[in-house]
Amino acid sequence: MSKNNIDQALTYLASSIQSLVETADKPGINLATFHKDLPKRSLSGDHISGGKILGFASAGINDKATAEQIIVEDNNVYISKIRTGQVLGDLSVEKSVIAENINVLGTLKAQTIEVNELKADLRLERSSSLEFKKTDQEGIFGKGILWVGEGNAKQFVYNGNPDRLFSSESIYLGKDKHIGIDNIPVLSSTALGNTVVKSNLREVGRLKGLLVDGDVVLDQYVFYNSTASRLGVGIELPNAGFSVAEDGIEVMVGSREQTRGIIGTYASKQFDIVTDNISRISIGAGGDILLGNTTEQPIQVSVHGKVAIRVKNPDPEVDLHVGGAVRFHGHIHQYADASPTSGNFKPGDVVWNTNPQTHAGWICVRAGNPGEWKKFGKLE
Amino acid sequence: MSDKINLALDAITKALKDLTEGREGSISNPTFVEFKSNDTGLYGKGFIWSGQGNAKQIVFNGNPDRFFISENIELGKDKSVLIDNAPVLSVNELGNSVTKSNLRQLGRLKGLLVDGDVVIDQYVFYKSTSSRVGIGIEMPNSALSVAEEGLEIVIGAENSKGKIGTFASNDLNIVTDNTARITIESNGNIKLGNKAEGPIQVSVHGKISVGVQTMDSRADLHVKGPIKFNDKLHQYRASPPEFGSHERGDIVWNAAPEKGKSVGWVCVRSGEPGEWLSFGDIKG
Repeated sequence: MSKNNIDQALTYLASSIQSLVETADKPGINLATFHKDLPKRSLSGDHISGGKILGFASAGINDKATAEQIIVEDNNVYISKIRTGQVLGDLSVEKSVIAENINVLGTLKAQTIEVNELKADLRLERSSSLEFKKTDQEGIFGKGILWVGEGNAKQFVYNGNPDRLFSSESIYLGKDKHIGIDNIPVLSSTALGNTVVKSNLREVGRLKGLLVDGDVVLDQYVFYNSTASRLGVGIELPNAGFSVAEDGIEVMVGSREQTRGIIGTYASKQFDIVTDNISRISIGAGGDILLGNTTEQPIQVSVHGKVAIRVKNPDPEVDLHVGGAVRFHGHIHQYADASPTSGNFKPGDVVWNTNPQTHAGWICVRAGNPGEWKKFGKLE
Repeated sequence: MSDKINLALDAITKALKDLTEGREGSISNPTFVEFKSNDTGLYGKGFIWSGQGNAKQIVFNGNPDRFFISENIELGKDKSVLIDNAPVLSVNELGNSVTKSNLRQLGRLKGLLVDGDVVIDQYVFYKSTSSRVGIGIEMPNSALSVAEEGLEIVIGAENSKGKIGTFASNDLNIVTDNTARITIESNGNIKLGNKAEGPIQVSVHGKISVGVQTMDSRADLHVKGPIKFNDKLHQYRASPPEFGSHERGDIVWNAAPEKGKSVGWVCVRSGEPGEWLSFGDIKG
């Protein structure tokens, strides 16, 4: 007897029962053990319709449900819950997928991703800009990039009032990089841009050069006034092209009437010309000039040329031309047309005759006022 | 597991990429892109632009903490860099708060205001503590000193007098036309004129006294001692010289003239004392 399938078994069973009924002969089967002879996994599903199969199991299915879990309809399978390790092939979900975690081994495509927090150790690959956009509910202020989890949050965000990008941290640029504004470099590691022309710098390095248009003030001590083109050392408003003020005295170096250089004091102060830091020529505030220094040894004044004293037109034939009287070695020599009638004189003083007819002059022979005078130098 | 997560997030990223390519509005209404610290910390995390040459980065680095930007930063027109809400750099101005620098080159300044020492090319020195300017000298001996060839010219004041001259034992020339006209030697001797040039004319609008403490107001030239002119000596004595070298033509004026005596004596032969004869009889 072939026992390959339920159909053959049922055929065999039907044949046996038929034989039993028709021949009352020894049956071909043992009815008590018939069910054991029935071949397993040989019943065609075509023999089943309706009803419930309890405890259903097959090589791929193990139905342990106590209630309905799967409903299969045309073009539709309803499963209340699925626990699965893998879904092969494409999965199309008409509506929402809610999951505690989704691991996508390939590409996740979505029209919109709404997240409260994007948490990632990731490389963000983009071919377009990341934009923070204003919405009806929120502006763009305060939005940007945060690094959190270590100390204060490190921020690179957009803030307002005034509008600016705010960085909570220092910004380091790469080698040879710079900061530019409006396509103009304004700061590199070695240079401020040429367009940066204003500053409040109070400290600069060792300059290679200095070129200044305008006023210069050094330590409130050296002043250059660009409008007056005057330089003052120790004086803010110099009275010459260059002035040095010390102890309240202004010494000027400059010019007069575009024809003469000048040097000296501006106010009513004496001016000394020194060598070896000792006064050698003193010009008093009133104009008196002292050659030499009364506190030092007498000096030698040499003149390579001629000297005229109170003479409007110096005589070119003489080396010393004195307009008035001369006194030397304690005695005065002067010219007059008569001996003195007043004034103090002493013996040896001489009055030369301006109208010599009989004698050359008079000489004082006794001191007094005017003293006693005698003629001398008879003209013959 | 981490690799899986990375892969997953890569996938999300790619999805974002696919989503945003060529469209306006890549992520709607983001507030922050946040990098959170984990086992690897925060350092090195940030933004990277890759695919063209070296990767372009904006990442958070440490030591010290800072954002590192691998590229130039370009601000928009009229925008500036601020620190703590204070402008520090615009296209044409450093902020007022930026007071220190090591600049070695400046543009053409509109003005210059300096508090403190000034040194120009190791040649011009201003010392703020002494308030002195030295040109060619670091430690000037007056308000202004000019040193050249090791010689210091001082300009300043002393004992209520202005002064100019040499500080050390050096002569001083006063020049016109870049030619010495008055030479004041270090020992005080004064030379008017210049032997290397033509003789000069010294004019005195006033009086001259030589070796005299009190000038005789009647005289324009008051010389304490003898004088010499035309190379002949004129002096006063009570009698002709008895010693000393004299030249013919030297005159001794009689310091004690009397009636019947002479006005003086004239040397008629050079010698010591030479031969002297009286002249100028004094009449009654």
